Amino acid sequence: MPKKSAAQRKRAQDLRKQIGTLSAAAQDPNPVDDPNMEPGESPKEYVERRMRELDQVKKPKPKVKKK
Amino acid sequence: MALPVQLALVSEGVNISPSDITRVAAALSKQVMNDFEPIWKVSATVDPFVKLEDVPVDAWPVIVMKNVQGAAGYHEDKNGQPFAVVEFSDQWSLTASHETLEMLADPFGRRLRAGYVPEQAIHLGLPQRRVRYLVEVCDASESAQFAYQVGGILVSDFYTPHFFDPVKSSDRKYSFTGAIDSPRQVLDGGYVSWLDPVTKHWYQVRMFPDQFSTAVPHVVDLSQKTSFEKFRNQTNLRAAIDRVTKPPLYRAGLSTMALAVAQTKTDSTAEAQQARAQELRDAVAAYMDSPAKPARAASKTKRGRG
Repeated sequence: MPKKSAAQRKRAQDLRKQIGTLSAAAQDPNPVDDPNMEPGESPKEYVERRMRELDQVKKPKPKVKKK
Repeated sequence: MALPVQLALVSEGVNISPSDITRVAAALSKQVMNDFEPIWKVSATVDPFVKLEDVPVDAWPVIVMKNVQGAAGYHEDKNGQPFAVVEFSDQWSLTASHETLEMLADPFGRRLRAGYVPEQAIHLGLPQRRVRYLVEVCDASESAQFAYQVGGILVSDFYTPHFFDPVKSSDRKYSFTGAIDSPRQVLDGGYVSWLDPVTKHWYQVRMFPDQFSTAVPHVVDLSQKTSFEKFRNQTNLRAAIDRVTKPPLYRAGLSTMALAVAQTKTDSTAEAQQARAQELRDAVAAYMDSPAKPARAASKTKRGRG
């Protein structure tokens, strides 16, 4: 079987490095993905927290008076 | 003759068997050739590789990994060539199909297409206006409930160029499966993104609850409410959109019954493939045992080199 070229190995290395950088940025305790996220909060935790907050501020339905 | 595209499906740091990688690559290749190419006129192959070092230098990698967090989705390497990162899950073939098709329809993550504001957004009060959509062919129907199977492998639905038509026509298809049945319609769990030339802001209509609203649908001003504009200065449009959009997991859209049906189809395909494999083994064994096959030594001498 022909050997893998140096170019293939180098490209694989570069891709791994780039993906590592992207993943590390996403796990940053001071995330920049959304300015409303709290430090240390994962994106999933942030979305769940916000949805709970939104549910709590929902206005109650007005009662319909029976004639 | 157009330059054909080669995509490379490869896993990195996750234990996916060569058999599974090969089966999914074959299914994606078939989806591209039979379903996608006739509609979008893009020719491509999807080939499996065991590791990144095996990938040809001009192939566009679709890399399956674990714990990718914000790295999931579309990216460009340091030479501006596209690659995608897919989170490994029990529906990773669906995600791989999604990234493959979007990379083929818009290789550099910045293709825009004009169209009117989605009806769903107009009903929420946005003005009727001509805007510019980012071409992301799978996002509007990305939920697993709209997926279909190729060779027993779950793959993503995708919209057609008619998605941007001004009016509905009964003889046109708006997505491959027909799940989208009118122009610019966003299905449950999906979203579309557009640039408003008047406000110069980017918007999305989202058919899922999120940190901005539990109402479905709702519209998000990405330029105002998220870090989208910051990411846009660092990378291309699609990568920036991927960073600020966190739709629910695909699995959430697949009901118990639909999952059971999908599993039955997968099992029956696997059964047929096993039977075929045994048939081929038997045929090869029968040939090897046959006294009628030509003498291999004689033919080697005739063709021998040196």
